[in-house]
Amino acid sequence: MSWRDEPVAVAVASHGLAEAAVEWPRQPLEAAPWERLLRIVDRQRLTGLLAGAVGDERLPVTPEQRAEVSERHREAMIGVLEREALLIDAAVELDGAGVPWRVLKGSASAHLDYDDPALRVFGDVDALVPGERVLDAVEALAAVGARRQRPPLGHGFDARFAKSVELADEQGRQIDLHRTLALEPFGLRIDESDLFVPGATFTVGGRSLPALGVEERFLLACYHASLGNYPVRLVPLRDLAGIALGGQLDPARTVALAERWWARAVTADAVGTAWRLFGLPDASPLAEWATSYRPSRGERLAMDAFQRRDRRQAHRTVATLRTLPGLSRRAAYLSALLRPDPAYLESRGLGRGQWLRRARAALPGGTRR
Amino acid sequence: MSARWVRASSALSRRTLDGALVRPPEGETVHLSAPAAALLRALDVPRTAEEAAADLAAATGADPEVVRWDVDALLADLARRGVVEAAS
Repeated sequence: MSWRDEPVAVAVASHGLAEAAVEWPRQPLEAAPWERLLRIVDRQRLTGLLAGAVGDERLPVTPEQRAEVSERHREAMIGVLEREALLIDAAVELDGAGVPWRVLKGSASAHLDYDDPALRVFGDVDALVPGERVLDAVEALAAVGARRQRPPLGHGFDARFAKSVELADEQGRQIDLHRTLALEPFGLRIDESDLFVPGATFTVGGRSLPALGVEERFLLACYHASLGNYPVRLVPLRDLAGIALGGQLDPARTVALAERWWARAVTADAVGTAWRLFGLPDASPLAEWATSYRPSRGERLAMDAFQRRDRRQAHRTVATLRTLPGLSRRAAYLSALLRPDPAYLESRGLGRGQWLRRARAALPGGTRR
Repeated sequence: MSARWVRASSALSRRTLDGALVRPPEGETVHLSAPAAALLRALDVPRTAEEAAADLAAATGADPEVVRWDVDALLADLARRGVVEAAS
């Protein structure tokens, strides 16, 4: 069951977007469609928006349905508060270790990009640190019980090529430590120094936390929407639409930054999808730009590595080798992939031969046995 | 002079459909009913119990004496949980 088959799920995702042209039901849903909606809402992490739509009486519900939404929302928010407590503990350690960092997605989106943070559910803590400080950050976060889930692919790989390092504590609470905003090849085109210019701040539990600026947050939501999952998920589309319509975004700076990061195709794709889905007005500078943008061959190739049912690392590797500027950088990337650390292979349950066969199959003209 | 109370800045919170959730730095997340959540919102600014009760009574049209009694009990409970604290 996909949200594409359930227009009420799209209406719920659009809750709070005054400009959205979506159809809301006029009466409470019958039992079967209601159950379907709840399943999609759970899977898509839309419980906050569902509670908002019920609370504002945009979505008519029976008293029983309201009680069910209330209970589910309460449970979701208990989880969110737990993650924010972990975020604050992480902030203390990262600040104490002198690691520059930014909160990404979840808590930052909830507090900066929604009218009420209770509308935005999130499942982990995401933090961005400079590549050269990833290992310092991993070490600092051991103090909150967070341990990396997999060894690095190779020496220096985290600092230079990885998108993120996954950490988790004994209770399974996750911290994703990001070096950049997207997987390769797109993430490798982002100038890291752009990410640590003065951005926004927000306050949680009396502590001021650093976040990206509004244009950078918007582009992160575009990456997440366009490249994060196939099929696309609703929350990043709602995130980007909310930021775009929130009155703070500078469209000219956004497009300039997207060009600098080789993210114009991603941005145009994400904006186009969100605008179509939520029925947003075409007469906005960003929507007009997105409609008129024509991706290059390289951009299409790179996007194709993500927007396919059988997406794999191999597709991204090929796209990276074909589009990453600089022969030495491509060579370093390929060399790192071809010589993984034994501990990494062991964590994946793979032998060196298996890894190399996979790599060979990924190369242009390669075959997969 | 009556003590002034303020919401503990270190407590995390979220609105819910029928009140609010609050997670103090130590201890468990608690769910507050709508009136308790309204009291907590009122304590974003330091207030005495009398002031908070008067505001709530005016907002709800309830008997100020009854509200005052409820506010005293709620403040004691919230203070014990670390959700509100005496304003300096």
